Amino acid sequence: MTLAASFRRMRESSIASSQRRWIRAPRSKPSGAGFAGTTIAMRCASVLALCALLAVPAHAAEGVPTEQDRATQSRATAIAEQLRCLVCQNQTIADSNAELAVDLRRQVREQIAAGRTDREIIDFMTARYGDFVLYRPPFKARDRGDHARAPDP
Amino acid sequence: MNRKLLIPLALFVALVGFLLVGLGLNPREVPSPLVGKPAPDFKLAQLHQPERMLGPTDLKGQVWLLNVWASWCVSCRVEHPLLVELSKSKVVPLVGLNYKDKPNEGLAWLAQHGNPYEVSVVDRDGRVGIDWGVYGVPETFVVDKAGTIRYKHIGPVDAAALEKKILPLVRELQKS
Repeated sequence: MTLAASFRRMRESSIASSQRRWIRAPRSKPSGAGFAGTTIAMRCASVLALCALLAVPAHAAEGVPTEQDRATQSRATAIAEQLRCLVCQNQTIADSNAELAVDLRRQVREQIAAGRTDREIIDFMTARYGDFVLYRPPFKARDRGDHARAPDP
Repeated sequence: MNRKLLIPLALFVALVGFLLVGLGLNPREVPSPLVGKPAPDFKLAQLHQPERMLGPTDLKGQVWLLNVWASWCVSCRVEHPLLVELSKSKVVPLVGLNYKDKPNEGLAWLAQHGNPYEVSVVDRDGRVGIDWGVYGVPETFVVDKAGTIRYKHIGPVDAAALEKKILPLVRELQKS
């Protein structure tokens, strides 16, 4: 049997079983294949309508992302991609879900919101964690081979 | 012997030398840029008396240790008996930074394992930890009388680190 044919059979058998389930359900109206089909369609429509009703207020509460939010998000990601997760070392804090990485991403977002420049945020991190926090550390003559120790990706 | 063969041999020996040195290094130990810099300021609530605050400025004029700990931290249990012993000797005040911990769990942990800390302060969301460049627990800092960080120990403090590094430095700083 070809793959397509087997898929078709699977689909047909699943439709058949779903119709069986609908037909067997106790109904006040006379049952039949046509009736089962409309019930499914009606149910789907009502579920979709309910979803739409539920979705609207939730969306309104969150707010539609503005251009500015998107810019902030892409800046935050760009900065996070330059910073090494010190717990996992071979990942950036953008990739890592270690708790410290999550905290540092929060710091980045907060500092963007506070109007700091990318340079200031990177400097904030290196002042605390050293050049090692930079995923691509700058080469400096005074290095004592610290970066050579770090496993590079 | 063929002199040409000596060149790859010398290169090989040099390579082995580098690799041997590399074996002895620990990539997990990231040197702190804060050593030699003023201790980052904070004002945090005390674990046992949440209505009272404490910060590095309150500790000026004495040499003190800041130990970052948490009840969820497994390696903290390794160093804990040593810290309890150190606190009994009264050589140097030990301040605890209860890092990203629930205060009731921190208190229960100290009640169970003993409390070596003069005072512990609560860093609930880890912000002070970030200011101090903490990237793992436990970590231990030596702060001098002027409030400058003089040393950072990463990972659990063991007897060798305490006897050979931390205590000699503390005694030297206490004299000055």
